[in-house]
Amino acid sequence: MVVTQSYSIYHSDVVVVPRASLLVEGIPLGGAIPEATSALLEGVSGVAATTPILFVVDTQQLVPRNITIGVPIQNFTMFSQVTQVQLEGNYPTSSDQVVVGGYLASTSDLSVGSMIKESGISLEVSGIISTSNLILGNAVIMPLQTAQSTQGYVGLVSAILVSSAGIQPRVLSQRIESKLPSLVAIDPAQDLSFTNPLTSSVGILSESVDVLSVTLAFLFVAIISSVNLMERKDEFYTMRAIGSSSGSMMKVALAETGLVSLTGFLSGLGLSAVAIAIAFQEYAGIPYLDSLFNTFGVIPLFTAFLAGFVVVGFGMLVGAITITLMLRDMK
Amino acid sequence: MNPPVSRLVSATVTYDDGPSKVVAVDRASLVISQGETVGIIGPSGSGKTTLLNILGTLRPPTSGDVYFQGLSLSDVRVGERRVLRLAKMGFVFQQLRLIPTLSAIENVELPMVLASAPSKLREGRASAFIDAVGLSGKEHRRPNQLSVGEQQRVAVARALVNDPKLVLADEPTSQLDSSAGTEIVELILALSRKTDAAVVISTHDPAISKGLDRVYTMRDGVLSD
Repeated sequence: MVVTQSYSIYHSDVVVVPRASLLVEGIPLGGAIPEATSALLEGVSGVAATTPILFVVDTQQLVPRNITIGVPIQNFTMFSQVTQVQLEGNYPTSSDQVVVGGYLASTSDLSVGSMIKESGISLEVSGIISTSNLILGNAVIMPLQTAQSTQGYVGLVSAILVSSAGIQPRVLSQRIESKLPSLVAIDPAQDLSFTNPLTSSVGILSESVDVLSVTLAFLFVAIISSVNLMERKDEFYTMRAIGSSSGSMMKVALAETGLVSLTGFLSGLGLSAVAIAIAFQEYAGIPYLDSLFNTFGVIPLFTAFLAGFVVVGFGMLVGAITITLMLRDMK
Repeated sequence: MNPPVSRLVSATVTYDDGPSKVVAVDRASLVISQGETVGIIGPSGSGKTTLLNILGTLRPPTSGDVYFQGLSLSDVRVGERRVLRLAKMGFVFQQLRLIPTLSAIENVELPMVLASAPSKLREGRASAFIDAVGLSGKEHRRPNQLSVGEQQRVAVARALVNDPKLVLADEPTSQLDSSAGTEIVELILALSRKTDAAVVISTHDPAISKGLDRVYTMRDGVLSD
């Protein structure tokens, strides 16, 4: 079953997985196919190359922490085609070397040259990759055969990535499935309509939460802005009585509501940063400080700026309306 | 005789109270001359505050005319009335109405700030008025750090700091004991005398009206000698 075809860590024209597999964000979960299937696939007309790949994921965690990825030693650079990766050290040149994700390295106190043990086998960390990708950041990437032997998948892989020799991926996937009916060949143009009920339910839930959050935020801004001014009605009456102009009172109201809204927005942003840091530490093992100062990686700076502008503007608008209504009674 | 500062001509104020109308001020006529001190005595609800509000341009009469320095206020727009209040009138409110977030001296400065007076002039005049009302050393206290009597002194200084031609004090002694009340009235009169301002004080206490040039009585909206 395919949940989504958005492959966040690699690119492939067609991904071949076993029928029982669940493909989430391009990562096949459950099931395995013989590595030798690669040779069969290379015999299919239109297949240019194949890359067998093994994913072993601890699915007990909401965000996987213990991820082992096995790829042929010559394919280690495949991930940098999709996501920005900075390598400290080198990619493995032998079967006893591995590359470790930056977050995993920092939480496990690993550096280039460190030794780790997998199923009793000592492996040397030849490189550490820094990336904003959560999966790669928490992964141990090792040569395929090493992964197979240490993880108990000798001769098996989770998926085979297929690159097309110039034909439409859709056509290629149909050819593969007709030749190897026990496999599922997924291509970017695949009809995923059967996943719509699930994805639309998740989408509706997500959008509902967004709408509710935004509505509540605006409601609170409106209430706080107007109540703040209404509580000072007597002061505004006094200022009006002793000769304050409408313009002066409007300036006071706008300055106050703007300041209140800005304070609220910045407090919200700060609390969000803390919440993001806690969530990342709790579910992804990313150290608090790493994510605390990476808030704008999660909430894009432009989005934050726009949200701040809208919130402060809305607060000031409510202030302007409130003071205008007050002034109407103070002729 | 001094020229009139303010004049009411058969000013009437009525309020809608459901199907019936309440007459708050009933055809009041009054002339207040420059430097004159006038008392309006009457019980609560007799219309004293409404009368002062008419004199202070805070509300127009339902019928009749109000003149300030010969100018009919019915011909004056809202913005011009505001400028008139700022430049030529001083108010001492019954509820004091000091701005709680400002210090005593900042409250006194407020009318000058609204009149866009230069900061040096403001500070100098505000300090002088703080001294004049006997609050030296307490100028930086907030209203809630002052006694009611001291707050009333700040309110008096605020009312007079712009050299008004007409000072309107609505029950300025209502929250004070009789000796403190007498002191406040004497303070208002003393400071007004320096600028030859006319003063109208409303009160329900006849003792307060001693020393005023003229005293009127108000009952059920009717103003009488």
